[in-house]
Parts: sequence; C-alpha cells; structure tokens
Amino acid sequence: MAILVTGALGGIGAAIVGELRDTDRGVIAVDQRVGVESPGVRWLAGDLSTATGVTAAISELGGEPLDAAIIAHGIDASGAIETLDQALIDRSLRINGASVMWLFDALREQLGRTGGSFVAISSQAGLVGERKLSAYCAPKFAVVGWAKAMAGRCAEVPIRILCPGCTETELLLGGQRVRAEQRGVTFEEHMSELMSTIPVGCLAEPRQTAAAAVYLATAQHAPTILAATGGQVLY
Amino acid sequence: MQVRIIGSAEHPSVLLTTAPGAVDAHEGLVEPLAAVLSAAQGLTDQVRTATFVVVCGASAAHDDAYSAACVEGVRGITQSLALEWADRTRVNVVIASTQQSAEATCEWLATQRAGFVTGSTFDVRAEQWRSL
Repeated sequence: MAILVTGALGGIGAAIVGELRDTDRGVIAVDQRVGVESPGVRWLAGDLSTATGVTAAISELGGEPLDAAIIAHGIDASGAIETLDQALIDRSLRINGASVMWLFDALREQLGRTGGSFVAISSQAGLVGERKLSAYCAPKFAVVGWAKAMAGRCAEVPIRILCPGCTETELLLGGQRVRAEQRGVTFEEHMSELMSTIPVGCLAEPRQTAAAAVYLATAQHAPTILAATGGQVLY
Repeated sequence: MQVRIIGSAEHPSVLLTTAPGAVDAHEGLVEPLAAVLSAAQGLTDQVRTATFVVVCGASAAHDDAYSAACVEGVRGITQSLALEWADRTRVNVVIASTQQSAEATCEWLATQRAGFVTGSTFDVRAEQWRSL
C-alpha cells in the first residue's frame, strides 16, 4: 500500500514525498503534471480544481487501498479585497477549500478499508485571520471547520488538519515579495519584520512541516487539528 | 443559499443564509463564500461597521459539515478584513439560527459602545457550546 500526496511538486508536497521515501513508504504523487520518476514514487497527473477533475484523477487508482492521503496542494490568494478579481476568488475557494472535500468524498471508501487517515494542509491563516488575505483565509478556515464537524461522524477515516506557519517555500516567498512591494519596503526589510513576529525566530523548513504532516498521517492517535507555527499562532 | 445586504449605508449587514443539506462543496462552500467576498468588495469606505450575519439551521454544526465549513469561512473573512480595514471600519460576524435572533447584536455593534469590538465572532445559536 501507499500514501497519496497531492501538490507533490509544491514546496511542502515535495518535502512530504521526500520524507515518505526516507521512511521507505510507497507514494502516489499527484500534481497537475508528473514529476521525475524515482523508486517508490508513482506519479499521477490530474486537475484537482473541479469535482469532475478530482473524480477523474482518483478513478485512475482503480480503488487501490491506501495507507493514508495527504492533501498538500494550494494556491496563493493574497491581496487587498478590492484588488481581488472574481476568477482568483473562485480558484482559491475551489482549490484551497472545496477540493479537500471532493477528495475526501472520492477517497473515503479506499481509506475506510484500511483505516487510513485523511490529512489536509490548511494554514495558520485557517486559525487566525491575516491582513489582506481574505480570499485565502476563507477556504483555510472552512477546511478547519469542516474537519471539526466531520470528526465525530466518520470513525472509519480519521480526519486530521495541519495548520503550518510560515514555511520557506516559493508559495510563501512569492506572496511576501508581493506584500513587500505593496508596502514599499525591500524584501529583506519585510522578511526581517516578519521573522520578528515568529517566536522561534525563523521560518519552518519544508521538511519540518512535512514531518508534521507525516506524523498526522501515520500516528495511530493524533489530534484533529495541529498548529505547527513556531509559536506565531497558538492553538 | 442567499446573500443580501441589509441595514443602513453606514452600518450594513451582509446576510448569508446557508443551504442546509447541500450535496456538494461547490454549492455548500464555494458559492456562498464567493458571494460574501463579492458583497464585501461592494462595501465603500463610508461604512463604519460591517456585520456578517450567517443564518444557519440550529443543528448545522452537528448535521451539515458544509454549513459548519461555511460558517468558519465567513469567520476567516471577518478576521482578515478586520485587520485590513482596522483604521476605518469595524467588522464582526454574528452566527444565528434566525435573522431575528441576530438583530439585537447587529444593533449593538452599530453603536459606539461597541467601538473597540472588531474581528469578533458572536455565536448566538442556543446550542453553541454543544457544537464546540
């Protein structure tokens, strides 16, 4: 059996795949395109931005039992509300929010046969609101709320949510570059200020966030919600 | 699902009635949250207090995961906008079983007595503690 990982080419997703390979677990890696072949990793290309795309991608597994699923895909949707266009809002709500639920519906039976966990990556912005991030906070909060509502109603598939803090990925750094420009400060100045708000004094390395995701996916007993934020958001 | 703006120009409320029993995350989540964000985009800087009112069935948190997700999504929007608009508009969210049961809270939020309250959740459903 294997663990399915979505967003496998992204910063956190790729680190999760690496973490799983290091522990000799089989991986089914899903992203919009396939990545580089490597031992123990099977690639699956799919569009997870629509319900039909999710169904099509998961149907390629042919009902294969899974040890767990880690939902690690996502997009940036930062910006002041008046600057957000409807297309970006819609994409963020579908990709960062609804696709988690579509994937759960599509994988529930496969995971239920093995008691495998369904782990979704939300964000610390899914626990506490952040400025100029309304179109991102909305789906990330929604995923947390959905998981809490589902927790007592789906005994056969444990649902667990990881809320990572600032992880050093291109997704995060790209968003911070935009914010620095909007504020009229240099990227270095902006990052220095950001770092001062993180009690542990640094960004998370992708492998640290990946390790938390793999813990949630493989531990027999684990919390429904885990905040790994370096103390920036306490839960 | 229905989203409409009620109240005065300075103190509007964005009223969202969730669709209990939504069969799909698009209907139960994407459509209502997109409508709420769109309504927020239409609020001018003349607005002094904006209140998001989510009306969802009394047992939504227990029986309908999409409604619970939707409520949390609106909380996320509220918190983010409270920070974004901190210098001009107070933003809060009221979660209620009926529109009528949210009215007194909306009226209070529009007063200066609530002048230090922004980004807060007012869950006035009778069974709120059982949903935690």
